[in-house]
Amino acid sequence: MPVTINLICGAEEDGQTTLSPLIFNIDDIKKLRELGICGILSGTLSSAAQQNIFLSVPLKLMIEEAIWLHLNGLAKFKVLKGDTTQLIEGILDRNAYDIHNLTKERLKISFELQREYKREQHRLKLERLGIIPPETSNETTGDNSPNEKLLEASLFIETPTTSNLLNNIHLNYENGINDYLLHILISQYGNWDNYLLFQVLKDRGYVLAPGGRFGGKFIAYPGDPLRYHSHMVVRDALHYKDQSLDLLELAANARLGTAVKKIWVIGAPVPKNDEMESNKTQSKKDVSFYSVEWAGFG
Amino acid sequence: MSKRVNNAVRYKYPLPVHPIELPQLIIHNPVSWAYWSYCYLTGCNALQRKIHVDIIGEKIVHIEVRNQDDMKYLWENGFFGTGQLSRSEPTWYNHMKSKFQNENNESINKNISLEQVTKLRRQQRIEFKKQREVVEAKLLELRKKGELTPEEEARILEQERGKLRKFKDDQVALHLVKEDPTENVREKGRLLIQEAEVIGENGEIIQMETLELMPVETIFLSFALDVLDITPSKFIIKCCMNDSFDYTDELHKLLIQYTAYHHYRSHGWCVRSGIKFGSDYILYKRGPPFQHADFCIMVLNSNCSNPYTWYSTIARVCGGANKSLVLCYVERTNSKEQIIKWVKEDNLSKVFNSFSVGEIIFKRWVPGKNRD
Repeated sequence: MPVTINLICGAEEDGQTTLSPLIFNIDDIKKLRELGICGILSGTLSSAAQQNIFLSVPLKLMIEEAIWLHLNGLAKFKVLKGDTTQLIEGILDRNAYDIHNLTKERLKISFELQREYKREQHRLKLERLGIIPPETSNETTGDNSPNEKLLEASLFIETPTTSNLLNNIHLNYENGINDYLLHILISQYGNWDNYLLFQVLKDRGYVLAPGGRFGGKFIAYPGDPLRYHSHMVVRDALHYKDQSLDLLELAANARLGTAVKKIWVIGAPVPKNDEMESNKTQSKKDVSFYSVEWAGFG
Repeated sequence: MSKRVNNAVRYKYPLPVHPIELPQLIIHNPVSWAYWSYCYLTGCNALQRKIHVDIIGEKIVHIEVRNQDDMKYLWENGFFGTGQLSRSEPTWYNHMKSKFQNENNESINKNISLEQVTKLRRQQRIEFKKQREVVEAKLLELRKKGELTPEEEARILEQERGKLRKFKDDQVALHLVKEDPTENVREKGRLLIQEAEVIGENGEIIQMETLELMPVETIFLSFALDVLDITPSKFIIKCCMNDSFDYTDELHKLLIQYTAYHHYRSHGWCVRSGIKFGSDYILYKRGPPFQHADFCIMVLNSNCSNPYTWYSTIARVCGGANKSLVLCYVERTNSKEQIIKWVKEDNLSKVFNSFSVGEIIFKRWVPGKNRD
């Protein structure tokens, strides 16, 4: 049973939708922990709202984690809330007919419920006034057409202030919307090579976490972060061929890494022919790593 | 304490150019007036002989000073350059000499070089850590058995700590007298290899070390102080300008780096390369032998903006070494063409005047630790 990753949509200044993956279900979080996906707890504890050291659900995932889970069939996406206009835009065109039918259906049900309710109310009123004996069935009150017409005219059409359009679409087109969301996640994700680094390290059994504290993209633990210190600070992917590495950066990062007893790791996909580039989401590219340490520290 | 006094005498002057010392003026003595005026008029603090530098390499230049006296002079007057075979001061020759003397006399030399001190300290630290590990393992073992009352544990802990402290003190006291025999053998083996190359025909040690200057130091010593025998503008052209005299990124980088260097030197700081701390420069109040550097300088373009991780990394490295990180933003205020023209005309004052400097201190602020 795949876990549910909730995506919160936020629109950035340039109109691009950004999605943040969150998980609310404790069981799901447990399951992910066993898979070596730790994420970061980001919710305030209601019992101690004034501190921010011990946090609670939702668990916020790195984008790489969300993509990895989805590509491995371990999770499905669900849009939670937020500015969804961008998401709906494409969907409306493709699914207009279904949405139309759905809305019509919903209206019909609503009318039927209203009718039933009004008839019942009408009957109860007559009873109270003593015009008809109690416990008479609806039919015997007479289907006099003027009454029916009045009733039809009094039906309400509700214009909802909230929409569960995406929910319904989600139900009907599970795979479609999931792929669509994955696509948005990937497009929002700047450097695909970083994901490849993540993937390779993950497959080798490392648990990865964001590495901002140690001046890297990720930090890698050899197992659960509660049991081990991290061993590596992984830098953003570097194209060995055409990207240069600043000497000062090398010195600073190696020094920082060594001071906190970690090795600084530079990794990048091994360059291959362009054919592979085209379907990069599928192919597992070879990734090579180099590590840098500051020698002679006591 | 005595070393400090020596240093004060040895590093009396902050720059290779010294102030002119005029004789005392005795107001009621006309001869004194005459002599004073003579000294005043003829006094000159330019160097008798300019220091010769060799500029080696085409793409990446090395600027080297080979004369022994010049090497010493540049180091002692403002801490310029780095010994190629030493940590910073060119001590390799003395280092080797003392080593050979040690071998020959079998006596303990009191003048151990700084590199040796560092090595010794590292060895001691490793030894100490080993001892500590043993102690910790012992404690863990006891704790696992669960036979330990808190009072007993505290007592043992105190006892072991005392032992460790004593071990450390003993180490410091003994380090000159007793050396690890295996270490000595290894050292001798290494020396044999070196000997072949280092010792000349007459049994003399050959000086193999030269003093290497940074490009900015070279410009400072030739443009601002005029103690080197090169023309700074020609040096700049050689370093980073192609035949078409374009305003390259390399040139820009050198110019802003120099502007910052000159800025701090002219405010009385001793500026040295900060590569050890992943930054461009480090600033000493007087110089490396006197105290640790207080500031790390990153020289940046005025419009430069880096990802947050970049700042946090450097700040963390500097913070870990107890230094403040200064972001030094340098702005170009004249057109590129104008600057190229001035460089070609050897009008470097105008070139460097068209850059302005602004500084910001970057500090990681922790609310829990910064209450006082």
